[in-house]
Amino acid sequence: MFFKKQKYQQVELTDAQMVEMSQGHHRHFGLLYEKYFDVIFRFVFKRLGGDEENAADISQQTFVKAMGAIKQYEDRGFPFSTWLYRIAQNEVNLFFRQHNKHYTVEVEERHVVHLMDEMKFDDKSPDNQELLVKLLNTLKPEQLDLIELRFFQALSFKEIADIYSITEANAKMRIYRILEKMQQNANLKS
Amino acid sequence: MREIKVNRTKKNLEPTPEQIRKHKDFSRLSHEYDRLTKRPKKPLYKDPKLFLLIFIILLVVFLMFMESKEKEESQSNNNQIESDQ
Repeated sequence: MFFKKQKYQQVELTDAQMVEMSQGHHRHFGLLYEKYFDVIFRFVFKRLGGDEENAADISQQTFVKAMGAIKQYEDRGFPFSTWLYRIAQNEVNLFFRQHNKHYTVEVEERHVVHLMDEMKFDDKSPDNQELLVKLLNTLKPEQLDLIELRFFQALSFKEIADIYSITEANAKMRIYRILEKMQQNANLKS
Repeated sequence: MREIKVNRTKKNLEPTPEQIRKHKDFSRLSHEYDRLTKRPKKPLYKDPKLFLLIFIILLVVFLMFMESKEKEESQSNNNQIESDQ
């Protein structure tokens, strides 16, 4: 007997299809989990400055919440990942709030230098980097969130806008206003 | 509250693929989700605190029943004595 070799074509599902399947039964949420775990874990890991265990817990919590809320998810034209980023962002902020004492977040030097470039700092010496960090630490948490997303997480203005459900122009304006304010404070200090 | 600090020791703050793989576990997530959303399958009588409460209630009911029975008996005895006299 001859058996015809059946070739199974791997069908690539779209996010909308995966969401629909997950809304039908939560076990299908695994598809979205497989696709987005890496980006969310990376996002949380960097937000916590490389704290692996807490990043794992927060990522897990993010997906538990997403799984619980998937039935209420509505496609409003934003990529699905931004919905997950928003949940992760809230979870990270909750984590920071729960730590009444200061939680130190380490950022890479190259990111600080990139921020200095954006702020047109001529002198990028370690002393000036520390001055910039001091300025960052005086910002309000929501302002610091925006700076972190843009310069330390290297998200585009479009991605930031999608996370906050605002326009790209608005995201850009908010970030540049914060930079302007920081620049003024830096001039005063120097 | 968080405080930003420049990392000058490590070169890269990106997680490694091994670190990601280590924590990527959908079965754990699914189990956690079930634990949070589904009702406990443990029967009520298997909960030691609840078992004790049920036992105490049953004991009180039994004692009350015995007490009332005893009263009834003594009353019937009294009645019999009275009728005999």
